[in-house]
Amino acid sequence: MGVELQVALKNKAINKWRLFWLISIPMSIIMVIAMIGADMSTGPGVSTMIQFSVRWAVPFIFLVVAASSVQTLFPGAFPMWWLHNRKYIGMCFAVAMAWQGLFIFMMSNFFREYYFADVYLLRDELEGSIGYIFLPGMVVTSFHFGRKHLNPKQWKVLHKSGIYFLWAYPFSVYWWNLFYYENPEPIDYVYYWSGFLAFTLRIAAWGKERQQAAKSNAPESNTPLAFKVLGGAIIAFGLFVSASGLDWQEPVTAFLTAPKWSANLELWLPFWPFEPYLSLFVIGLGAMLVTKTRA
Amino acid sequence: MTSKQHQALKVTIAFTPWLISMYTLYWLEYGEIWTNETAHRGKISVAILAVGMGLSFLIHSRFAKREQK
Repeated sequence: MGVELQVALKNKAINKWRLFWLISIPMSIIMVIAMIGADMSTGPGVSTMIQFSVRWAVPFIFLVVAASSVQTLFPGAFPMWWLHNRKYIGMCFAVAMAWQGLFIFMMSNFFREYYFADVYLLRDELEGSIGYIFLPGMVVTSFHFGRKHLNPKQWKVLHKSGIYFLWAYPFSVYWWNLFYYENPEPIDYVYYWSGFLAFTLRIAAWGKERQQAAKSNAPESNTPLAFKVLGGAIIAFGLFVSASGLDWQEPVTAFLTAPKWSANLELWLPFWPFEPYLSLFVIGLGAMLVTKTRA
Repeated sequence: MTSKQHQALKVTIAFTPWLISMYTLYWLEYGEIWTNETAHRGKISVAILAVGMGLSFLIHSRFAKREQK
């Protein structure tokens, strides 16, 4: 089974550019079919297509975020295939986002009145625009002709910041859909938990690498029991926080935006005051304790 | 100044142009300096943000280069 999988994953049809075409061509055909079905002569029709295209894009960015972590945590043929094709999965994300960009362009240019009355919110526009500035930068520097203009450190900063930002935006959207707006759809749950899992895997992989590095520096070192227990409890609390936003979102937002300066920041600073990410921050803190070693 | 404080200061300086670009857009809107009818508003917004992000990136790169030396 293992060998068969290894051979199957080496098939050229599901690797590199062929994988990209295999995904992005059918995706684009579906997008055109959906466009024919939607009423593109109205603002709400274009708005539907914006939502439709973003639902195609989001899984790819979550897959990109999780790729290296899965290989660190569960090394094997499939995670390795996943990691090797990360760039092409990212390109599929870019294609879906290009479709969304086209629909946003149509909305803001041809249905301006509807856009400003029903869709527009400054902070949303800031978050979306920043994502759209990162994206072409990342695509261009994924090729040699773009990459040669950056040194390795610059490339890493651009791609890491871009990936985290592009993950953070949809993750926060689905968090708000679940824990603020009424009547979330089933897909909102799927996307929220997928985004959560993608980032949690990164925290776990970071913890594993940190522990391995400490062990290789001082083989006798280990984590004190108190750290393990406390860290485990903090992680469990973080998991509880991640699932119980409905119970705490309102008072926590009120508390965090009580000072005037904070309420003001909420109007223009992306994601402020970071409610969707509080659970991940708590889990990260727990992981730090669980993996803290002493000689 | 400790090295951590120094690092925090560098990050703050590097982020400043990006923050200024976002605040500029907020100021333009809430100060009612531009309206929904302002021509090329979308393109100007993206340009302002791109300049802010680009400057932040360059400042960060400059600090990283100095650290290497």
